[in-house]
This record gives sequence, structure tokens and C-alpha cells, in this order.
Amino acid sequence: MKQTLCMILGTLLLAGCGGGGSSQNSGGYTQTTSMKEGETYTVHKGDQIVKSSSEKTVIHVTHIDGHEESAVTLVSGSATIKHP
Amino acid sequence: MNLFSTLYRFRLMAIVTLVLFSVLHAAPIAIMPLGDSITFGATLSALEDDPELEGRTGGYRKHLWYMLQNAKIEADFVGTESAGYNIEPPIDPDNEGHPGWTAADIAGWTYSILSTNPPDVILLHIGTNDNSTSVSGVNAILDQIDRYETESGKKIKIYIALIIDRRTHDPIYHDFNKNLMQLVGTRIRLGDNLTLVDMHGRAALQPATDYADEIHPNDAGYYKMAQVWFSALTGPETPGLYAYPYVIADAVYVDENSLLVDYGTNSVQFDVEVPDEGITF
Repeated sequence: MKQTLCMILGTLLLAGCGGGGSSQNSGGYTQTTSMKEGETYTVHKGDQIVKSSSEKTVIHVTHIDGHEESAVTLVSGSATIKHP
Repeated sequence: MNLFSTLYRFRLMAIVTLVLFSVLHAAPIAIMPLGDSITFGATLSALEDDPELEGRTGGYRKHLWYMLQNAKIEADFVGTESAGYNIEPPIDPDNEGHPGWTAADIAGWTYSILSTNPPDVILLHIGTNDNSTSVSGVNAILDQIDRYETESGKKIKIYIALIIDRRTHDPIYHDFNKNLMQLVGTRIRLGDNLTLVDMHGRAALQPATDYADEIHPNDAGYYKMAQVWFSALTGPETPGLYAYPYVIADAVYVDENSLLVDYGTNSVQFDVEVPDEGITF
């Protein structure tokens, strides 16, 4: 009984984590975020940043040693963050 | 949770992991100090020729040994060289510090050295005798370690140092270290288990007080080096701040002029161009 309850709660938790945002499902990435110039975003291990167009795109990265996440700011160009 | 408590938590976890490793392993952690006369512990260029003085030569290894002992981390320094066997309190004098050797010299013997004394961990400080900005010798050492790991099935954790400067600043070392950052970052991206240790910046040896001669630290300098190695060994397993940019992107995309490391916040920041294939964190 307790195991069943745990499985149900676990499934609901996992389903909840996948929701929200502008969801997509391509290439193993389930969610994308379009970056805006000058704004800072948190990226986690496994996230990918790709150019949204062919123009030169530069980002500024701040990373604390030992942390799994980094803060990323779009400096110029256009880019999208893909979350697994 | 603030930054300090986060870092403290990481440090505590790393120390607990090392202690657990040594307990569960039933054997001490085999640590190989690998390099040239600075690893050997020389304080004078001709020291290696005097057995009596060699017995008292510990360099950073002496202080690191005491630090590990105080932290209850059971270690076994391994190597075919021996120096510091008359030091009191006693230390493990074994090492692979080869006075006068270049990185290419070390690379030629790396496989044999590892086969003779298989380590769990390598502390590598090499390049001082290269007198070159090229890190091809270091690359060759890492290739040989990979070869040994593949053929033996043993995994080795490698801590590789940005090398200390001469007492009189030598720009060659600066460029050597810059190339080393790129090499280490790239190799981590390709799967190597490396941590780049900023021995140059963190030990911050002072020309007036921390050198015995133009090349070698004195005891105070070696103590500072030991602190940096100890901190790396007991800290979180990371690429190292200066390697991180090159872990996520090839060097041609990283704006090295924007690279800024802040030891106060233990952080690195930099600009990077997004390549066509993207950047994966």
C-alpha cells in the first residue's frame, strides 16, 4: 500500500516537473526558452544554448565552482535555451 | 542558503567522501606527486645530489602529508623517487618528482611509472623546465595516463596545476598556463577526469618571502602550495575555474580577454560566442 502510494506520488511529481513553459519535444529536449538581450537566465547541467539565427551570438556566463548551474546573459544576437 | 554555507557543505561532503573512500577501500588513497624538482621538494638546484639533504627534502609533500594526517585522511604517497625520509615527524617520502625533467621527459616514463605504482590520484605540477609556451608535453602525459587507464581498467583522478612563476616574473609561464587552461578544459569536455588547480594564483608566492632561489619555493612557499593541493583534494570535484570556459566551448569561441576569476565568490565569468552546434552545459 505504502509502495503504491509512493509510486503514484513519484509519477505525479515527475509529471509536474515536465509541465509549463513553451514545451517542445525534439532531440531529447522537452522545453525551450527564447533569450532576450540583456536578460539573465539560469542554466543547469545538460541544458543547451543554440543560436536562433545565423547572426553572431555572444553570451556572458557566470559560474560558481562546484555548482551545477550557471547564470547566462545574452549579450548580442539571438539564442534559445533548450532544457532536457 | 548563502554561498559560504554552500561551499562549506561541498567541502564537508568532499572530506567525508575522502575519509569514507579510505575506510571502505581498506587501503589508503594512493596519491602520486608527479613533476620535476618542485615536486621533489628541492630548495636549491643541486640538492638532489646530496643524500643527507634529500632526507630532509619534503617540499609541499611534507606539509600536505601533515594536513592529510590532521584531517584523518589515510594516504599513501607513491612513486619511485624518495625524498624526505629523515624528516620529523615522519612523512611518506615516496614521489615522482624528477629534478630537471620537462613535461616531455615525464611523458616518456608515465606509463612505466603508473604500472610500477598505480595511483588513485595524481598531483601534477610540470612545465617549469620546458621554457616554452607549448603544452604538448603535458598533452603527451595525459595521453599516456589515458592509455594506462584503458589497458589496466583503473581509473585515476588527476589534479593538474597551473604552474608557479619564477621569482622574477617570466611571461613564458603566463602563456604556458593559458594554453594549459585550454588543454585541460578541452580534455574534460572529451571525457578526461581532470581538475585544473590554480597553483599560480591561489598559492600566490611572493618573490621576497616564498622562494629559495630563482625557481624553487622555500619552506614557506611549499607550505602555500600544500594548502592549495589540500584544498583541491578535499574540495568538490570540479573542472576548476580557469578550465570551465573551455569545458563548455572550444577555445576559439571564448573571449579570453573577458575571462575573470574571483576567489572571493569562487566564480568565473566570461563572454563566449555560441557556435553553430550550440553550447551544452
